[in-house]
Amino acid sequence: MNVRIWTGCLFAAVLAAGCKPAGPTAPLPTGPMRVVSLAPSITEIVCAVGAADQLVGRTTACDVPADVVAGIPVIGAFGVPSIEKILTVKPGMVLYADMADDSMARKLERAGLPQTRIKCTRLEDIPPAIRTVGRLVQHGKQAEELATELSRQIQAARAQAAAIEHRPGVLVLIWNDPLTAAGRNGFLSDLVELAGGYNIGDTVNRDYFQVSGEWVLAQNPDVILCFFMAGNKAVRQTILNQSGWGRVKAVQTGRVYDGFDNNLVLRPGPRVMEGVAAIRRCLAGESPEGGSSP
Amino acid sequence: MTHRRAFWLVMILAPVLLALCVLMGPSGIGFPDWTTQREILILRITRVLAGLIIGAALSCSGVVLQAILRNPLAEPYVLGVSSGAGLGATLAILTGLGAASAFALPLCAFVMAVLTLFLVYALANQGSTPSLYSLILSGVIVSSVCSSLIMFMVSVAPVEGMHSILWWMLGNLEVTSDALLATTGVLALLGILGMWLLAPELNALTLGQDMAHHLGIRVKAAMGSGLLLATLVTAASVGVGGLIGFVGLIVPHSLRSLVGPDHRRLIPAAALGGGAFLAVCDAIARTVLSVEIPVGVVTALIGGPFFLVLLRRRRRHGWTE
Amino acid sequence: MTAPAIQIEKVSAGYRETRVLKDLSLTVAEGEMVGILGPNGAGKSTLFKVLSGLLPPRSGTVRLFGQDVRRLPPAERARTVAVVPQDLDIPVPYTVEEVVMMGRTVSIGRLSRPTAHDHQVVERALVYTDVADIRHRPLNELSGGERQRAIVAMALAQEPRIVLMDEATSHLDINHRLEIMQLVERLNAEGGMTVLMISHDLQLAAEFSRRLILLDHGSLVADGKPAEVLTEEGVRRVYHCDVRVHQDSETGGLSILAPPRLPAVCAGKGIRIHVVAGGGCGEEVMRRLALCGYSLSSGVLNRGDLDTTVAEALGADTSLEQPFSPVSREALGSARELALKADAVVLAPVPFGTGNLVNLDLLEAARATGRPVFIAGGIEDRDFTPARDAVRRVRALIAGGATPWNDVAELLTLLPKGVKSA
Repeated sequence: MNVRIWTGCLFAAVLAAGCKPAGPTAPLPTGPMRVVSLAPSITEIVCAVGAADQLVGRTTACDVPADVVAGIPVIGAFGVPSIEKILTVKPGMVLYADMADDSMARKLERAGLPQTRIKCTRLEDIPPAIRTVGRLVQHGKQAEELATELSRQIQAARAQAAAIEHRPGVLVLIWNDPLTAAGRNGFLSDLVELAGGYNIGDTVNRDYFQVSGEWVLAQNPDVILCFFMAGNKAVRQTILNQSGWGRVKAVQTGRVYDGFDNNLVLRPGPRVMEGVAAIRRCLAGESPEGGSSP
Repeated sequence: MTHRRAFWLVMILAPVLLALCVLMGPSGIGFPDWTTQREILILRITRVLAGLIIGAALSCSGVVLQAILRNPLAEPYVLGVSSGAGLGATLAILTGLGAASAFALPLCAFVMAVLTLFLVYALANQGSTPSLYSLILSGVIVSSVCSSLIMFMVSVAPVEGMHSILWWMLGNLEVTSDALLATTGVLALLGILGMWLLAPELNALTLGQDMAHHLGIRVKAAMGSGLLLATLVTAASVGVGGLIGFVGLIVPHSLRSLVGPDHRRLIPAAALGGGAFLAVCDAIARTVLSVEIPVGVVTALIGGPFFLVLLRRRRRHGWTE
Repeated sequence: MTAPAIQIEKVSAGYRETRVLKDLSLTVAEGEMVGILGPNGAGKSTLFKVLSGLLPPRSGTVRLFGQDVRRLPPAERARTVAVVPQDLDIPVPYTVEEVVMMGRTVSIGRLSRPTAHDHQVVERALVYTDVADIRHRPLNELSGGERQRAIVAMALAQEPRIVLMDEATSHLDINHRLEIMQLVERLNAEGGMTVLMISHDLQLAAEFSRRLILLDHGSLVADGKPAEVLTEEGVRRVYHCDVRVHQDSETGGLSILAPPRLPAVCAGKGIRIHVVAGGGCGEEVMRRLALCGYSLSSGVLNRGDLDTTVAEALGADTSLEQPFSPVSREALGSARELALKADAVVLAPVPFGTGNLVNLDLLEAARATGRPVFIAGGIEDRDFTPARDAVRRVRALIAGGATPWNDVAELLTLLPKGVKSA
């Protein structure tokens, strides 16, 4: 039997060698900077500064703006891109926010790919991030306008929030099992502050942390925001029925909100102020989309 | 098929498979053009090389540990090498050392893995030659302690670092530095050569420590060097590729049933066969879906059923009667 | 000058706290075929471990052909002494030929292939042990006899000058047992190979060995020709059981008959024995008596004493006293009742102090009523009373008709038997 297997294998090898991998084979294109985005927030920024046509690669998580990203090749999952796929789109620059793996930056470097980290961990990071992206894709003017406008909105919201005397305590849950809340070091804390509340997780010096029922009872939040499993109508009910939470103020008054567009509130991109608006509506007793409370 | 013919089949088929792996990649199947797609070709070749080196190291360690511990469940991670290495990697990531140089994390993992082996050996060794059971038992215990330490550090660590640790533990064959791959390759080659030189001792040790002694083997020295070599090459490969499961367990068993239990044939066959197996699994992991699958998932999904078929077909030639 | 094949001088050896071999000295000349006998735990296997260099002796020296076995280089040692274990558990499917070739491990270099000579030696071993036709079969598929022959072949492939067989045939049926023994005998006779074999089969050992060594509790008990070692008396002392040894007047061969009797289970039926014991010395007596069907009583015993536990477990009537207390009048009274209810009274090898000396009253009372009394020998070593009262009173008892006994097998022959006539 071996002889046949041998010939089969060799034949397959020769056949396979005959075809070429997909992707452009032309030399490195000149002209506008070709960029690959490795994060949904960066994809949004690139499109917002008007450089959608320069975007040659995205992750599976990049879904906005939907009509634009549909035509852009996927080069891997958020945080774990395929370097080989990035190479095939011949980018002039790889933009990334966070990697699942520290060593990814080193792997990009080894493959000879120019890269820039766009840091977006706090709200204040977003306008500078827009300017940086704009400069890289030679759309500086549009970026400057966008960044200035965003900064102005942030300032305005902050001033408005500062005027509020009694800020409600807000518990921001980003996952239910295990119950995980936003801490002081993330930009969710900034969002809550701008919307006129205060994040009760600010006592914890982490971006995210696991919470216990006892801790929630002790902190006794006025409002609970659920930023997970969007589209699942039962989320609010599960939190209301959470055993032992009956005495929590937010549960007693029914001020537990779900149904957010999580891409707005969890993604540090140009639409972040829409997220702030949604939270503000909740704190005012309306549903995230507007209208009366559920 | 006799063991001898199976051996030569493995030795010839493995390089062919390795060559075929170069043809596979997420950008398409085929041989990348040298002038326009040189980077892709280099990327694939280094990745296949990483698969060969890591697969060979894990398989040969598995062979050696199964022989010395006389336990069919022994695998490269049995003496706590994995969690020791994991602890080292965690320390490197959390202290920021890992970001300093491409060598820092693998080196930390390597050093901690070797330290773990010495700790396990010291715990098991009371007086003369350590008993196999106390070796395995202290391996398991030290392993759980290390895992708990990792979980402790992960739970107090900033979230960003935690992701890195979890991804590192899943294992990945994308190389961060050529120099690191070369160093690991040389280390693995030397280690496997050493194991091959130990083949007569390993053969005799399979009959038990007493019988090996009667046959004229220096039992303590042979066991010590076997364990050390297995740990060294495992630790080196873990430093580069993270924790890749299943290879070190099923490749030795499968190849033993194909080429026979004589270690003079088994070790070279495990080196090439295991290397080719991991490279093929990795080629599949990066090719079949638009998103890369962790290679450990593929090794288990492909290796598991293959192993079970072998076990059924050659039950009487396998480990057990 | 030729050094003896094996020379052991004042060797003590053991594991952790227990000392198994005690000051053992032994010499075996080249070409001898020696059987090593002894009950379980006598130190036979430990002796082999010391001989093969597996276990370093705590004191004393072990020399093989004049060289200290611990100083022999491993390769040299493997060419000198081979061991055939009782069984070999091989977890991977080595073929017979591969295993036999492992006997050549130290002769084949690390990097070289087996030479023509290696193949020749292996071939001879395969043929000698009659496993040549199954050479390609995995060892763990073979029957016990085939596997054992292959292991003997591996030992032969070492071309050793000494072969140690550790109960090498005990798993085999009678046919294969004889076959292997004949093989070993031939190697011994033709090749001058020195053979030591541990066996529990006295008959087989007597038949194939020209010299027997009897070990007990780590010491040499007897050493000599089979007829000198395997006496009924000697076997009884070491194995605690009776055998009939019959020497054929023509061939001189020994036949050892299984004990014609451990007295049958019902031998003691209906007979009641009172045992005076304490401190664990009565355990064996009571167990064996109960096995033979005797009804038992015992006392005076202290609560919590090992013998108390044994007596109660065996369903004996007991008269008990508080732990660590001298025997009280009440306890002695009830013990006297038990003793006078019994058909005979046995004194176990119990040490006497002032606290339990009164137990001798029971024996004297039984003797006074004409009941048979049996007294364990060696009272001189067990009397811890200040005035040596126990010795004096025991001697008086024996003078008055009490029977002394030395081991349980003997005691069983002395005790009254059969269903008591009304």
